[in-house]
Amino acid sequence: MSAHPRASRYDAIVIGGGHNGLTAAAYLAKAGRKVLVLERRHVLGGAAVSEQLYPGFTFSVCSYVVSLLRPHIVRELQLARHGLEIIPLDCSFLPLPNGDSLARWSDGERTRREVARFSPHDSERLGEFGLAMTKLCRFAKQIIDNPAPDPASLAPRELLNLLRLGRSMRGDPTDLRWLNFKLLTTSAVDFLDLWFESDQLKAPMSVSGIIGTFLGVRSPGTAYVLLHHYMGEIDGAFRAWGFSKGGTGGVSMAIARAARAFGAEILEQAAVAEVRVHGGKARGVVLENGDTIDAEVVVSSVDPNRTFLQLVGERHFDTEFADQIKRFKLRGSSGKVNLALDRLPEFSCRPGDGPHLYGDIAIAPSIDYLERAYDEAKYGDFSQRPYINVVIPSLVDPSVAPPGKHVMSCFVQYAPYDIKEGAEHWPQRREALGDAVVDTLAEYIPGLKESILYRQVLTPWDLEQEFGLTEGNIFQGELSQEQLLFLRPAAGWARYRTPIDGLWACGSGTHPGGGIMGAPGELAAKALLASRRL
Amino acid sequence: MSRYDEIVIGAGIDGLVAATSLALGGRRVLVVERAGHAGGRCGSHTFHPGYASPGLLSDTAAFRPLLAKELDLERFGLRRNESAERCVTLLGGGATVDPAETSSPWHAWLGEVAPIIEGFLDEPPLELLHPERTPLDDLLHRGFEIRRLGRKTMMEFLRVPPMALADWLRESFDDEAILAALAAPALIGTWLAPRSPGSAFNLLFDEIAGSTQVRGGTPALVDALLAAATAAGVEFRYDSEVERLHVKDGVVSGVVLSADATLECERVAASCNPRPLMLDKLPPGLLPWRQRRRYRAYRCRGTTAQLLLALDGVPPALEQIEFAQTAASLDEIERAFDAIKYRMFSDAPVLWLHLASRDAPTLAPAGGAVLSVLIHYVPYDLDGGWTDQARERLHAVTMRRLEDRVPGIGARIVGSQLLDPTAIERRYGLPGGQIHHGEHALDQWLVRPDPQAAAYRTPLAGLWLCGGGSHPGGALTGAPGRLAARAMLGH
Repeated sequence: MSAHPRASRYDAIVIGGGHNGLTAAAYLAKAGRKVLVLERRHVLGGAAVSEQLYPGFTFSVCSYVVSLLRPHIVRELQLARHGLEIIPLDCSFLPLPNGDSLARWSDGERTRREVARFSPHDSERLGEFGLAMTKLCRFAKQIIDNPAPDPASLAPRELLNLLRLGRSMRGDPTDLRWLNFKLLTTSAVDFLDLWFESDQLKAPMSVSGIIGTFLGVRSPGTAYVLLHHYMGEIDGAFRAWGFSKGGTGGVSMAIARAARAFGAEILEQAAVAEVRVHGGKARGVVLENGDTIDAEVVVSSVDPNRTFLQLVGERHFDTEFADQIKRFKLRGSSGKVNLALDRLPEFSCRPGDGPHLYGDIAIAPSIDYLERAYDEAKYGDFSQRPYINVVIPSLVDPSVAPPGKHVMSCFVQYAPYDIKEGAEHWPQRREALGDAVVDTLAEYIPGLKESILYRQVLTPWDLEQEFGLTEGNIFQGELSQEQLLFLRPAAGWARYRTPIDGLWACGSGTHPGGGIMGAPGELAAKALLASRRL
Repeated sequence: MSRYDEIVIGAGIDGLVAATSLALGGRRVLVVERAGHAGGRCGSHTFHPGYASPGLLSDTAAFRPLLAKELDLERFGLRRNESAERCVTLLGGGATVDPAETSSPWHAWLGEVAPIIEGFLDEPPLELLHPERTPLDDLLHRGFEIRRLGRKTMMEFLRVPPMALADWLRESFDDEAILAALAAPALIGTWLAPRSPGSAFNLLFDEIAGSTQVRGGTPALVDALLAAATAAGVEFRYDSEVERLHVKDGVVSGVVLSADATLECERVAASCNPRPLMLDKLPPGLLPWRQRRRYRAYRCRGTTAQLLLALDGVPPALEQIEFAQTAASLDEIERAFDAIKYRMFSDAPVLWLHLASRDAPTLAPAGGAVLSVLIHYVPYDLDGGWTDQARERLHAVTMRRLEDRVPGIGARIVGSQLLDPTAIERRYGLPGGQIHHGEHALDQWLVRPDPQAAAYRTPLAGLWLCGGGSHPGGALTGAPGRLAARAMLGH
């Protein structure tokens, strides 16, 4: 039973109570505006959500690690005071089919010793690589912490911004500029080839380049995501990579508390059916239950396809904009398997409890394995031997499972939205996807199957139906270069405004894109406030 | 004082263009060529009694039209055909699909942005990563050229290059055979598939860089260039492989040939692949380690094999056709590409066909025909190596596909030669069997081959680059040779 809003008119209505929508609401409320957030589901968080799907077990249902939550947002919204607690992720573990394994630690020396067993050459290169990446982060940070540059604008301010961006590289030696250029253009594997030779290092490192995309680790344009791991280093005292206490929903709930503390009103089970547009202006929304709510401004945090084509309707836009939105690519490529286990999962290659289990675990034994997983999905089926990224958050955060029992969160690629039978047939294939994941994991964890108390499988179809992510794309739109920066979500509309007066966009489908950053929400709110529209 | 101002390494298209341009500019030029004849990748050889190859690369449409004027090539017999021959898709059973019959907004858009790509081909490159210069003038000038397209076209022009050509084409076309006909020629020699990001730029380039073919094909082109070079006073030395560069007091001042003969000059302009040149043909220690690392990272993976067929007549399926390809869909090309990632070739390769004797009848005896087949994707580093069995297997899968698309061709074959990527490397001096002197990919177009050698001059005094391993790449444009010579002459 959905509650009704307290008022009939607001300064701003935010559609979607995901972490970006909540962030935008918090900033608007902090600036004194009367804000209402409308969330379709019974729980807040969007894809950054915690749910107790099985008694005693709290799952980070979709996203499972906090990546680049911006430190200034944490500060400005006082999220720590509202319950945000990030537990650093200290290890990346790679079990191998031959019984060996490799663990990489935040402690560089420990990592070097492990890598040296596979390749002395590579272990000697690790420090150099880390240093180069840290330098390259400087440039990237400017991109994600600022609105997208606009090359089409002739306004002096824009030209200066572009010049400044270019000039920030001026003092850099040629080789660093070249590395930056390669980072932006080549594949994750080609980029790593500049330093490393061993598959055991390159495979798990390169795979971060293809999370949430429909590309392989050898596809051009996948290298730049490698930066994500290093962005945390330069964010200062705050460790950007980690588990959120209480699951990733803990992040969203902290932001929601901050928003409410600033005076924002948040409603669950309040699905929006339509954005009301009249005389070329957004006037408010209509809920699925029929309620009409007015607002000066509507801010949508759902994906561009859903916002413009479903909630507003194609007829309100000129064909050029509508075409751009229609060709905005959303092809989901991933799924999720959430398991409740009655005991600790033990890897035969490194048995027992140990710090190697307290970070993320990758089933990515070689580059060929990863490419084959991609190849399988290109032609309309999921990978039988998929890439799986596993975390066992109950080891670092006992609050999410009963004592001695564990939550195992498995992100899986590739599971294409468009399977050959048609996406709507995914429910019939759901358990087969779950089986492929469990069967693969069982090769490394012999006792796994017997220990499963509960299993949830989310296919791209489920991500769409349940979480409102069109085509199951976890970033609300592929993070490919033709859809980033000034092209996200459409050329000329990358500054959170839309062609409709009073309608703004703020989700991962806007700059700087997906992940639990909060940046789209924050930048959109600040742009809206700066526009004096409110 | 040496006899020559410049020594040009390589008598291929770019080497010939560079040498002729330099000579017309008053320089004394010697061309050294490892083969026994000129032409490079367009050079001919008899592969079966009475039948000659049109070369490894045989589509002359990309040869820059302005070179005819600048080098006075019409005087030496160069003519261009009135209309361009386009690549068609051959479907099973002899049916064909011709994309030239489709005109569309996509084609219209290509027309709008053509001047920008033509500028890319005919003007010196922007040195995007040059250490000292941020070429603000260049950038602003080029920037305004692009802005002059109008906001919508400009945004589109910025959007397209990093895309996968499959995504780009599917925005405008549905028919798989048309999609494949447009995509396949653009992917020849690349390590890219329709779904590879950046492949849209390959297609954009390929579409705009081609005008009409040279009449008489590669033999006519090579003849005209050779005649022009000779008339301009260029000297030639064949069967002369450069073993290493001659360096005196840190300055490159000549070449050392295999026979340990040293030829001196003021400057060397190399049209060969720059990677082995910089890594292997210089005295050790001359190139700093960071530069060495960058040249090692210059990707030169060959993906092409060639089957030359001597036919006693033109099969019915190829009547009226000069260029064709066999993939019926983009996924077929994609699957053929998948294999190469594992160092294998697919049993359904993509074949690009050129009935070269159609426009160059001297390649075959009267009534006969020469068909050049470029096979993709074929790995240079085949798992297990290029043994006789491997070649037989490649031959078999190629012939099976060919027979399906060109029924009856088997019966017309009187002779053939299969060149696997290692044979291509040996015959044409192409490291890795990479037919473009370095892969055609967006990053390797924008900075080619290295930030400190992106405009033909290298950091080594006396050494210049003038071939396909430089801007704007290794298609048969003649552009690198032209632009390098202009830079060397101080234009």
